[in-house]
Amino acid sequence: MLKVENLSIHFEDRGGNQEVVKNVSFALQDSEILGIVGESGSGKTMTALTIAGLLKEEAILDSGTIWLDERELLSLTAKEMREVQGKEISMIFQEPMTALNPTMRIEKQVEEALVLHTELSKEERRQKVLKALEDVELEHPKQLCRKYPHELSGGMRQRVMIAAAIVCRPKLLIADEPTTALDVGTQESILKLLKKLNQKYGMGILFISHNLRVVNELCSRVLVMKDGQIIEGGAAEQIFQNPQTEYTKELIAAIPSRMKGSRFYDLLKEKAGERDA
Amino acid sequence: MKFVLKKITGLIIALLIVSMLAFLAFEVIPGDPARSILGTEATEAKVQALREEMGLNRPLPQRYGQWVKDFLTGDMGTSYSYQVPVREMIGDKIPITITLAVMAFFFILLFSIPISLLSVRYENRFVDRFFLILNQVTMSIPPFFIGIVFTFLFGLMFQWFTPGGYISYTESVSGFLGYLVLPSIAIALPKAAMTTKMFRNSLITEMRQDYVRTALSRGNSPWRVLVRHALRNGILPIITFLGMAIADMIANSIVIEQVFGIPGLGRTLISSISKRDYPVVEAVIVLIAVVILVINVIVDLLYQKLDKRIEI
Repeated sequence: MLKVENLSIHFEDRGGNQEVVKNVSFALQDSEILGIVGESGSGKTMTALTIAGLLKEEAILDSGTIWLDERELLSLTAKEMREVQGKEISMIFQEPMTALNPTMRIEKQVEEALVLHTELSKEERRQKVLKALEDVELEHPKQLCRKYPHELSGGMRQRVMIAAAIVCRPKLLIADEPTTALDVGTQESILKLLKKLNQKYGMGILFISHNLRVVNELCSRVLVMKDGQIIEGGAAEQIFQNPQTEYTKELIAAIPSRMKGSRFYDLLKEKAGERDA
Repeated sequence: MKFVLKKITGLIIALLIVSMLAFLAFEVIPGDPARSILGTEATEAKVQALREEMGLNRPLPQRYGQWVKDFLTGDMGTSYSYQVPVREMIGDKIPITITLAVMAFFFILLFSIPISLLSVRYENRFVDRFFLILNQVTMSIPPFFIGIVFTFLFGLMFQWFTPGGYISYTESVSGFLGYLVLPSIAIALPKAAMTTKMFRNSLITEMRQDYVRTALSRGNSPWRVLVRHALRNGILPIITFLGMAIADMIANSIVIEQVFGIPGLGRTLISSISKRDYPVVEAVIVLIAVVILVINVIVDLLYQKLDKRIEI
């Protein structure tokens, strides 16, 4: 469904040119969950933003093509790209605290993609919003509609973000570190939710994280990025069990071993659902 | 409820202080209302007799107490120089000054909001730079001078209006409003320039926020993000400034009324001060204070309305 080929991006900095993405190519099949891991500055977020059409003006595209089915996204005009954003490709971000508009009611924010991309009536839109809020397992969706972001917890806000992203049923959801700012229990429940939505609607997910454990839990296939390049890729199991590069080994070693298999960890996993509500 | 009570108490205290200061000011400045009525030819004995009759020889606290008591019952006193109740004298002038101030405020918004949005949308491009320079210039011209330039340009050169040809609202409402357009623009312009500068910067800060990126990821156009998302958030930091701008518009009205020959509160105030007609001055000052204090309360309420995170 998504095919990225030879993508290269650099930043026009004062003085030197800073290459942030070098010759990146990968593909994502229909309803696949693909993970990209790497440390900060590895170019993973830049790759994601480019696919979502959110690259800043300072970033300069050197080469590459991005195919979404039959369409090449990088050759689209800004106006044509806006037709894709929110409708076919949606994105959720790291900071649920600041990624929602503080002075807009939840309903308006979840509804926005529908206003932009469909001809639905107000009532039809409302039904879809309520459905989306139910899909992300938020309770009392009707009351929730009237609320503002500051009245919700971090986990609830991230769920609202997801609801707003999936309300138009996009083919692809790009999740840029969606669980990093949340506590461990909430992390687990958001991961579970993403997996559920992927199975329910067949929505492809490009999942970006610095945390190999999180990626391993959710994704079927993993790419490891370092200094703007993909240095390793393959099935999650294989990467985890038999890493080929030193860097990936280091990433795996960075996971606290006490976490895995400990009773505390299992307890957290169990409690995850209740905790977030 | 607690908020309302707190505000009302504050309002009363502020009004007492303002009126007391106005009373004190008349004690300190030279000049005598009795002599001002009788003229310089009058004998000292006659002046003294009139002072006694007007109650001016009583001690200050007693006079102030009497004034407050009368004011609370709705009696603003009688003008020394015209011998008519103050209430009648200023009653028909209040709407003129208020209309002028409200129109000026409207023009501030009319100029500053679209220009700010345009400047932010095309940040650092030609439009933005052009308005930046124009703002800097406009900000530094005092309203009365703009008034004089307007009178010369539109009154004498293009003859769009007759300078000094004020039309009362009892004659024709549209004529009245039409005559107030130029004076209100004259007082609005410097403030509109300052508002634009603040609003532009505030909007630029907002456009760098995370929620703007979220909005763009949904397929919003940059204009829609600006108007639907950033505008409301960006206006919050400048609301206090806008509140003060309304107060400023009233103060500036007083000056511009002189330039355009508008018989509003300002003219009454200035002539009353020179005649030491202090019942009139006291009443005008207290009225202006009430308006400004009420605007402050409205500003607080508006904050809460626009941003639900703020609790009052």
